[in-house]
Amino acid sequence: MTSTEMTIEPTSRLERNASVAFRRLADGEGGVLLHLESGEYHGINEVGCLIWELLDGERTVDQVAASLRDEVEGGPDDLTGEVIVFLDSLRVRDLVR
Amino acid sequence: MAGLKPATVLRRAGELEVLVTAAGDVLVTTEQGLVSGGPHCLAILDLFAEPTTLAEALEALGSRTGGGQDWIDLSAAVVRLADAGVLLAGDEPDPGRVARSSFDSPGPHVAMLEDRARTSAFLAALAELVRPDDVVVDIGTGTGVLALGAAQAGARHVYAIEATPLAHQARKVVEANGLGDRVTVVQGWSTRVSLPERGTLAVAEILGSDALEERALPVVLDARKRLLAPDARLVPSVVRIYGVPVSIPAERVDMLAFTPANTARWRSWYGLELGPLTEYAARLRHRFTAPPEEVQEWPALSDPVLLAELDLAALDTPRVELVATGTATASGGANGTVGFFEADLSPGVTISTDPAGEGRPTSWGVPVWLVPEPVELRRGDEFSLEYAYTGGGGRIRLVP
Repeated sequence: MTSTEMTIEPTSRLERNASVAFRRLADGEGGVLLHLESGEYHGINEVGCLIWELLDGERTVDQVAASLRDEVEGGPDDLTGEVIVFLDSLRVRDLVR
Repeated sequence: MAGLKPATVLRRAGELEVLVTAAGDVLVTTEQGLVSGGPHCLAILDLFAEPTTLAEALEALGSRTGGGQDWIDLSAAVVRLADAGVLLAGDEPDPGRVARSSFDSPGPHVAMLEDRARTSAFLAALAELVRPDDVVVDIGTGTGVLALGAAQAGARHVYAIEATPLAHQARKVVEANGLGDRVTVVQGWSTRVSLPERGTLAVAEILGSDALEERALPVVLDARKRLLAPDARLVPSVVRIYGVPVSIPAERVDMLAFTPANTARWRSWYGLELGPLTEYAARLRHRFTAPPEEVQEWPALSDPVLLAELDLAALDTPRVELVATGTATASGGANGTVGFFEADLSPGVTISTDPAGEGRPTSWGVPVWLVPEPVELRRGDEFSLEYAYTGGGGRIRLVP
């Protein structure tokens, strides 16, 4: 199963693709991801930046969501589900593995 | 973009032609044509003057950017420059272009290595001075030969600094001599690099034909402040600069400057009046380099006049402006002044570029300054020679 085919579960561990450069923009403006192999840029919002910075390959998706809950007020009830949706969008773009 | 990762180490290619447009774009000449480096290009090229990872560079450069689009443009420029070979990865060799700056091409280094008097003198000085606990800093290591000499003389460690891409070859030379554990090649200008420890002995083989023209004084001053221990020994330790007024044969001057003789000749050839050019020549401070065997044939109008004696450990300014007097030992028209230097490398080793000297090092030419309006000297006359070094090359001027 390739990384673009895998299903992300709450117990999955994902890490940032080493071929991706990340730039956090000024406060509140989110960030930019540059996939160095494809040359594609992707913009992510502030919450996306927080998630990106938590993806160290050690934390599970559940743990990422738990850390996020500590930092962001008023998140959705199914935060883990929302995180999975976001991570899936990164995975299909080969930004995480 | 194949192969680029945030951890990829990139460095600037050796010699680049850069055009800054009126719109602020910066274009870099490559074998494929011009590549746009964008408005941040000069900062990008400056940052990659020393090997840096892509991630560190994007982080450092990011502070220059405005919003997200500006960062996108900057990062795209970095990748574009890497794709075009303006930025090189790791050990990737410089593209095979003709190197036009002198010290990243083989010529000068072949000349120095072939100059047995010069290279042997420096190696002998290091053999005399280096102690087992010494940390040696070799400024302008070139091919690495003096760094190896210092290591073989027993130095605990040698930091060999080289600004040009020749540094990569120096690393290979160090490895080929099995001294990689004690010699570290550092690429960059000595005035910009940092070292993990201060040197106890420095060798700076950066004397030009006009002794100070390779910026020896500001480089040594900077090294004493940032790279060396307060009591570090220096090789050379003292440089003495001499000048001699000479009569250069007219036919030689004719080849170098606008003179009444050659403008008259051209008038007869072309029917054109070019006489006003001689007035322009009179205002020039014209300097050229001549081979010693030619200079030896010119009548010298005095003994060498000591213009400056520079103790490099005590120097506190990179500027030298001195006047010395001499006495003519022969009569003649002084239309030029010749310069040479002596350098004390160690208590037992001194080298001299005196054109009249026996066993003179061969890789240094003789600097000659034309006197715009020749001065008639008679034997016994006193004259003044003014020596100035203020940051470019030195200048010896015969003061009438």
